[in-house]
Amino acid sequence: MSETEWKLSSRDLESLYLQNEDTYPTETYLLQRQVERSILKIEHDKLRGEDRLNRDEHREYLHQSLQQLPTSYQALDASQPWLCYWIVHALDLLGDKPTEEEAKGIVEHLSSCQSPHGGFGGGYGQVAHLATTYAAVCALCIVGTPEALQVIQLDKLYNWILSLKNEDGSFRVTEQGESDVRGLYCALAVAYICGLLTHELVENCSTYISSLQSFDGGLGGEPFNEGHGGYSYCGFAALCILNEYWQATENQSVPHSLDIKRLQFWVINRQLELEGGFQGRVNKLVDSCYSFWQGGLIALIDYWIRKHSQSDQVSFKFSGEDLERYLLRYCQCRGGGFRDKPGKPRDLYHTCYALSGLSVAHQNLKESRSSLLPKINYLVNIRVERWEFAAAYFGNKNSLTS
Amino acid sequence: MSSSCSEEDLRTKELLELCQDIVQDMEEYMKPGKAAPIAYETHFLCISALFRVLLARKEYSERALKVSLEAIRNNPADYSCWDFRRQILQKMIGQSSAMLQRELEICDQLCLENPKNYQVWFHRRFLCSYLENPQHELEFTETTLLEDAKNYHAWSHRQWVVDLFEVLGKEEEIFSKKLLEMDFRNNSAWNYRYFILFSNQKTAVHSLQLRQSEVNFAWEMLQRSWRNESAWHYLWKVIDHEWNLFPWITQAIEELKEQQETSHNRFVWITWFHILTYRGETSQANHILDKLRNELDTFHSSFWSCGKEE
Repeated sequence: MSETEWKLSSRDLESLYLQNEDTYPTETYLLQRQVERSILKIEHDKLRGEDRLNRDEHREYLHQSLQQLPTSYQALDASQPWLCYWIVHALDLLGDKPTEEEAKGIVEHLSSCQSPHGGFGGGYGQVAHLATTYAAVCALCIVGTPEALQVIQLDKLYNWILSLKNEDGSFRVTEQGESDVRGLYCALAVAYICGLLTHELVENCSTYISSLQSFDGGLGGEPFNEGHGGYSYCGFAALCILNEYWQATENQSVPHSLDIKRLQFWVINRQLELEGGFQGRVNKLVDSCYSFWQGGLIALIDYWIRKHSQSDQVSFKFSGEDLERYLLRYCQCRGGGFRDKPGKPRDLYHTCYALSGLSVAHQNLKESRSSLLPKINYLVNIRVERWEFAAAYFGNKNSLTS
Repeated sequence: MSSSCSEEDLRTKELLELCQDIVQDMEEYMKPGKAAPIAYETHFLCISALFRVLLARKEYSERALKVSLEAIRNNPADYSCWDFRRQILQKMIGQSSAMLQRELEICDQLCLENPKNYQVWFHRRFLCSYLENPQHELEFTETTLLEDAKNYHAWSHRQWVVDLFEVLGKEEEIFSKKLLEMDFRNNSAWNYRYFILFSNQKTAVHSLQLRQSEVNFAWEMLQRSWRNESAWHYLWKVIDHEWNLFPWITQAIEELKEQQETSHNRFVWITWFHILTYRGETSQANHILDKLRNELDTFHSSFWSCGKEE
């Protein structure tokens, strides 16, 4: 099928709305119904935009953001590597890249965020943080030039990551900062990309991850917290990275005590039929960023189950068609960019994760078609090609120095 | 309107005067970024640069505390500032506990203004571990939860407090019930209830009696809405596959399958599937899987296709 022929999944949303009517209204219910009505309103709107991906508008929004961000982004002054990552990854998914000059600026800027003691901070002169380090390393891999990859000081990076490790297998996000599964995931993802995983670094990590499963089946940020899309992705992606390491070094699977079937049941139920998108927690509202956190988690679980079962399991999918409907029809903004949900303004975070989610959605369609977004390495959320190039680069580099 | 007379600008001016001896070093930190530069307000940029100078100098002083606080007011997500404050506080703790108390008041205010900020909640933990003030923390998290009953940080903080200070489980059970009475669909409140009654080493009492009464509680809540996924999760988790211990549930599910209102409810049938699987009635269970896949839960048909028991 060519791009002009296909139509977005159409459902009888009116009758879904009626079906969702429930007894005993509470705050959760009333807010949920508001969102459902905002979706129906868009469906009824004669002026509803086209259902295709407005590539040019998104590109322009992203290039413009590289040139200048408005004052509202002051709140992200401590997340500057994230801004770079969101922009270059979104561009990369759109088949575009920064101009030579832009790329040079990104590399210089990220280089200025690197701490003399290893790791990257939120900006020049800021303390190194695991989350901004993850963002900086991914952004540099996406830029992908030798100059970009050379920025990362591997020895210092490794020692710094190791210094943040707690006995229980979790990681502090900074020397004095909080510990949760975000820290753990960012630490392992960075080490995985840069070829720095060691026995010392991974010890106890899977025990910590196993302690995160909530009563509902999802994973929380810390033991006993509520199941949450972002943390579930971090925890399970980290477990998959550990598994890669165990397979390579011990030739066996990583030991863990997660109930993966329950996690899978939890996560498929996070996709909402009427909206088409994912919610982050049980009984919360849809949000486009979970398109990737939950969609990516589903893809990772599918990969895990098929890898660990002897028989040829049928591939397990969510509804890519419905997720695409949510993203393109309700979250795409005029002038480029994506938003959390109807009624919200666009921003770079949601633009990056909506496009990442769209890439996952394209791998979950019932029928394949042309002009799909490129595939992502779900473990780290950069394009497969970028991952392969970086892994080869660092693999080579590490074998020369060891 | 002239911006030179705003409160922020006045405070910024005062702080710059206080640090006159080092302002010449600020320039380095005021250059625009080479990628995705942000259009900073002047007062924001000045305070941020001044703070970075103090940080680079490792100046653990009274004026550094003032500058970092202003930087935090400008951007509560500036984790370097919070880190720095903790380092200063640690060095000064021996001298006065009034200082920690003052810091907590600042923290209270910033928490209320930025309830979804990681740093401010972690800073609370730091302060609490010195102040040992569980009662204040319970009251404070209650205030924030009455504002937003699903605030992830607030719930997580409350769990941390309960665990560290061994707060009595009974009071907290009542708290979770109160929040569930306000909104029985609040999954965070269900999670908290499970934590208090079953997970937390210090408050949990493992007894069949407790499980029975919690199954009753979940069932009562389900009667308000059979579509409330949170209550189903709670029920399943408390039963934990031991359906034989709760025979009346099996009976009640069989009745719900027949009733018009619930005969198409997927959760009812999923529960029935679990009961059949537990009993080892595999072919019947597989029949229910087909029913879920083809009729009752077609939206998740892919999940039910790969769930077949051998």
